[in-house]
Amino acid sequence: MSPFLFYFLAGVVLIPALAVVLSENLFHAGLSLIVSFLGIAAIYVTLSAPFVAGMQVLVYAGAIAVLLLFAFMLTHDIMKPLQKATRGQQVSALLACVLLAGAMGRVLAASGWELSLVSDSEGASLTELGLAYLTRYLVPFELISILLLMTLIGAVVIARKEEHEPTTEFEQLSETAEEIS
Amino acid sequence: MIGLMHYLGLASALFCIGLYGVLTRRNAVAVLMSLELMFNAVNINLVAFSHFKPEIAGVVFSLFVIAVAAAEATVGVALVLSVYRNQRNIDLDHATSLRW
Repeated sequence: MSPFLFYFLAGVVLIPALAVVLSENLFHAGLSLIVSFLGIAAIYVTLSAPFVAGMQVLVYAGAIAVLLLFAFMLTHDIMKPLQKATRGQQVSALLACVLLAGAMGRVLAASGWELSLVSDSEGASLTELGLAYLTRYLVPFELISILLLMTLIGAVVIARKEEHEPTTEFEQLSETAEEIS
Repeated sequence: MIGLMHYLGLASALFCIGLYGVLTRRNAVAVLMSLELMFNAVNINLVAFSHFKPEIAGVVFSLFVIAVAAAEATVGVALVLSVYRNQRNIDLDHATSLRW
């Protein structure tokens, strides 16, 4: 794979990612998130994992990003300015990130993996992947399905509107007063 | 040539960007977005190792990570909506009723 293509794709991933964390406008941040996800899908293609790339586009760019945008639009009051972190919090967060990046760089440098380790592997075929899921990784596969079912029920229970009946006359009056004010 | 280290470096950079977002954003939805970036950084690592040291487990578990991330985003959004319904506000500084 040519270095030019890799650095181009890295730019497509990292620049929108910076926009996600820095943008003043959260809607723009959500749209940048989709671009970043698509760039990561292209990275998966260069790693000869086209099935993961397809799932990335379907689940991340298609479902998760849109879900987050919907959540933002349902909850954000457009008139209110975005509350920002203080300067001190920004500096300390930046410091934490730089320290973490330095630590990870040290680990990578000490790992002894060749910088130019290249691979001509074709990647796993879809058949191999399916067989792996249904033989060696059967238990985690089934656990994931249980997790998704639990998520489905849990999300409905958490987000459901609680209907509580005002019991006493006082509560009814105070609710009416709140509505008026 | 582009090797394993390039992909690991890209993933590290993406993880740090996501961490910065998690630490500095105040809006709960923005924190969830940054969290998704960190998930993706981990996924790039898994797929890169699976490619350069041929072994199917990396691809298998990257798909597990995608499924878990979808579950996390769903429950996260449900929590955000619930908090919004109670407080009319999803700034994390205001969600302090469980803090002691």
